[in-house]
Amino acid sequence: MEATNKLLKGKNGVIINYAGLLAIIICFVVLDQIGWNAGLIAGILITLVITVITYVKVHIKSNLWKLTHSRAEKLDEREVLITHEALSYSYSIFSVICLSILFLIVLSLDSSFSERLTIIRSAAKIIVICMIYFAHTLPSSIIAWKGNYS
Amino acid sequence: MKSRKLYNRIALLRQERAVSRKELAENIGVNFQTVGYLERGEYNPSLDLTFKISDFFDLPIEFIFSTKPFKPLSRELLDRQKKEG
Repeated sequence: MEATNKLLKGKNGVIINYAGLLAIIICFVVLDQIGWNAGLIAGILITLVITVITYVKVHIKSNLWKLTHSRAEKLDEREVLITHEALSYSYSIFSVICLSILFLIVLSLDSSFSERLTIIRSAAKIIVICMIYFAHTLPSSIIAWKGNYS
Repeated sequence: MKSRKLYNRIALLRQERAVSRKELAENIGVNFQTVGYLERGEYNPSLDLTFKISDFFDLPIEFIFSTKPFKPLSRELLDRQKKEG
């Protein structure tokens, strides 16, 4: 139990959490290509469970979610400093990823690229849903990754 | 900007006065984890927080914080005695 807790904390927890998110996107893309299939549904459910467990461990139980979603007046000066640092990193990372995805989606609409990028178009909805989750968890993931809140 | 390391006697004073991290944190208005970071020298407090800590222990700031490592209190007492004697 202790070994599992250690595995799901900090960097490992963040990696497993986002890997689960990526796996969900991949499952939905495959689902779109080959249609509904029992194995794929099981895959989606398993990755969803893993993502939820790591989300609870990394963001909720560690209080990081609360920290990054609190108003500055409720935090002390060190917490304000680490939250500010995490939010500025998140802003850069999220904008680059978001704009890259937007660029790929725009390219997929172009007739000369449309055949090669149909996967992007079919996964657009699930990618946007995952990006909402990503945007909200990125600041706390950065704090968990750096390990300066324990 | 990377600031220089500040050394402090918070852990020593807290132990001497039997004050828990939580009690100190409540009195100076920070999270108890921040007290741990301060004690380990992993976080340099603001001037306002420094004054709050100084007020809490009722000691001058220079007795609690220093930019150079502190000598053990016994050593400092001995040196003072030698100076006076």
